[in-house]
Amino acid sequence: MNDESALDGTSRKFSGVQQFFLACLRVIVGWHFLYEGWVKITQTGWSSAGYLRAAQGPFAAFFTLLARTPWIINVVDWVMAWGLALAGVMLMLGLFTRLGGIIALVFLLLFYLSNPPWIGVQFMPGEGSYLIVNKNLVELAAVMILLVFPAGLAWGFDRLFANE
Amino acid sequence: MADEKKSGVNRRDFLKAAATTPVLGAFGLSIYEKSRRDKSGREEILQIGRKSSNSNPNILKRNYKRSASANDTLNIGIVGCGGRGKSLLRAAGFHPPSEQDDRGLEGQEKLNLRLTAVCDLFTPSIEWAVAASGGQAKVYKTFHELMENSDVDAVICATSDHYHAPVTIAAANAGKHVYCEKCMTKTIPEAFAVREAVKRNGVVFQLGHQNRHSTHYDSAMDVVDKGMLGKITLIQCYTNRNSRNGAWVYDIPKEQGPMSAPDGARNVDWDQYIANTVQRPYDPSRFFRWRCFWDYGTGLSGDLLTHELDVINMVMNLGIPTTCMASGGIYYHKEYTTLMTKDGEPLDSDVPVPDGALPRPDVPVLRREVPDVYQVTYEFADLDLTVVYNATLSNEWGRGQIYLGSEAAMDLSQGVNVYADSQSKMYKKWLDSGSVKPDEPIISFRDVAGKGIEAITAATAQWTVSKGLLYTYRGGRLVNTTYLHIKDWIEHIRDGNQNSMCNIDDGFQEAITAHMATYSYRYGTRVRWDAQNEQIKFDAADRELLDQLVTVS
Repeated sequence: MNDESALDGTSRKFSGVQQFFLACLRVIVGWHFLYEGWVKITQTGWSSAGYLRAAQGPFAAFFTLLARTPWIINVVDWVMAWGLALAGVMLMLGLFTRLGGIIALVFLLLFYLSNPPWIGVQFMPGEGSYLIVNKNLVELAAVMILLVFPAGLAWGFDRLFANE
Repeated sequence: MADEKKSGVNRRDFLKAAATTPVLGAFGLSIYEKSRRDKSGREEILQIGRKSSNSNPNILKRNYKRSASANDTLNIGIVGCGGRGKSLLRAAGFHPPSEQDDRGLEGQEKLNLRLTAVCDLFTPSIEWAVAASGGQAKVYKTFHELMENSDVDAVICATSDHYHAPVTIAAANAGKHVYCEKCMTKTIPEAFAVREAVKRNGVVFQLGHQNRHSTHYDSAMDVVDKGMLGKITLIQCYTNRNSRNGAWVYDIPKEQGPMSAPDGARNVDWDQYIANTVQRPYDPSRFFRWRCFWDYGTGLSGDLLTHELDVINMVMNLGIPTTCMASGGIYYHKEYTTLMTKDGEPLDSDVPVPDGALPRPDVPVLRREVPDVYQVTYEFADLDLTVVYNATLSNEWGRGQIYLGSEAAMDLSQGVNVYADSQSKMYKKWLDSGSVKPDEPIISFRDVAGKGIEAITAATAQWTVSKGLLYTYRGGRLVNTTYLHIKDWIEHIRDGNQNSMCNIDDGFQEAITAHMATYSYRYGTRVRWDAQNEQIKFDAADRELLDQLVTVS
């Protein structure tokens, strides 16, 4: 547990504890995405249309436009359900972590922008109080960490590809 | 040495690589356990009620299966082609070539009808209907003449209320099937006469409560039938509208005038209009805004209360109430001056008033006779049940029906939601364990916003979807409920089956129930239905006793 291995071929080394918690962050975010995706895949009649139609803020027009066309909604629903699940699996297993992280990043950015808790924007009420920073933004920051640190290499399948 | 190290690294590497796989396993197990619990919890709750009692005949009428496959063309006539009449024809598949198909008809089966006869008192409406028929419909000055035409199999009646009974009776006596708009009649004696004529002639009758087809009521009937609410003792239903159009202050066309006038537009057959009611000089408001007057309409009772009560009757199989008390008044829409632009163009009733608008000289100030705020309380003494109706035409807060039972409440304002009562004995086990909370529905049916959903945006449109007055969702797609109701009528005609979705018995019950309220409101007394003798009675107060109670000596 205590090996200070250089994970990404640089001279920087990470302690075992650091590697452990990097992996924990990755697995936790992955679980979150996988469960969100799973629920959307298995729930009959789920559609993102309601959420999209309730979009607020400067990008609301784009999101509501997506909600208005039936075939676009079909595509969006499918991409969202499977994309979330796929990103989740990738992150949980540390397999193609970078790709999983980027997919997660894009989703979180879209969620954040469709209902940004900015001054002057009427946003969907949920639990908690938010001003500019909300849970989507925090998770986005977490994913950024996963992307700039070699999070898949310590306790993940990417390790196998790295050591070739 | 290198080999050994390499294989050691590989195995160790692999172990570290796969380190998080067990977490994925834990994920899978958690999901499995959760869905198992949810499912068994749901199944347990659904088993709570008794088995379907099959005591509600209305349940069997849903999803009607054709007995025959006969699909011969049917000839339809229309008597009364105003606002509602046009909607009915559009739903039946008829409209002038210049117009588009109505919403909610996409992909729906064609009904194979022909519009062959038209009768209306307003010339432009006649022209619209003829155009909708493809130019082939014959025009009749009176509905009696239309009924003599053997080229009409069935008649749609969408006249003002005071002609519903005469037209329906004439059609039935001529052997023609009838689709009649609500309220079935304007008076109580008419309700008896219509029922007698329809039953004696054995024609297929459908009363215009298309909201029966809303899928919400499938679920509601199921919930009630399984006894999931316990003993229901109070039901609340509502109407909320807040627009001039909603208050029946309809547009008056620019060109309008009685045919008996020496000059002018001469496109309104006023003499025939008032033939069976009080003789009065021509008043465009009395013709175009007939719902505001007792001579021609039945007010909130016949227009909107009937939709609510008919549906509650369908869900609960109630029949006619024992007593009724109503109250209300003209509190908001007291007076209306019809305006025009400064250039003399009529102003749409829902458009905000522009500057320089002037009163129209050809339309007197409208002073309605019917209330715009209205409360009715019905007691169903034999069923231990009260139904309360509460309406306002000056507020559009959305309120849906609520069924209050001893074990649970069912709220129909947004889909169908059933909430366990916090004092419930039936659901006590689940309430105590926390798997059911009083403020979260134990059962929730929502219109599945499936693929190909339609975006309904305006508040009034949402209201009409939730009440099923315009549309319902079937298989994720928006369907016009009027179309479904007409289709149900046509299918029953082709099958020779009189048990339509809203048949003559349902219509009779609806009419009596509505008129009890109107009589109570207008004459200030409690109205009673003697079910044994099928008679209306009026409860009289013991004047002497009451005077004694309040005499100050």
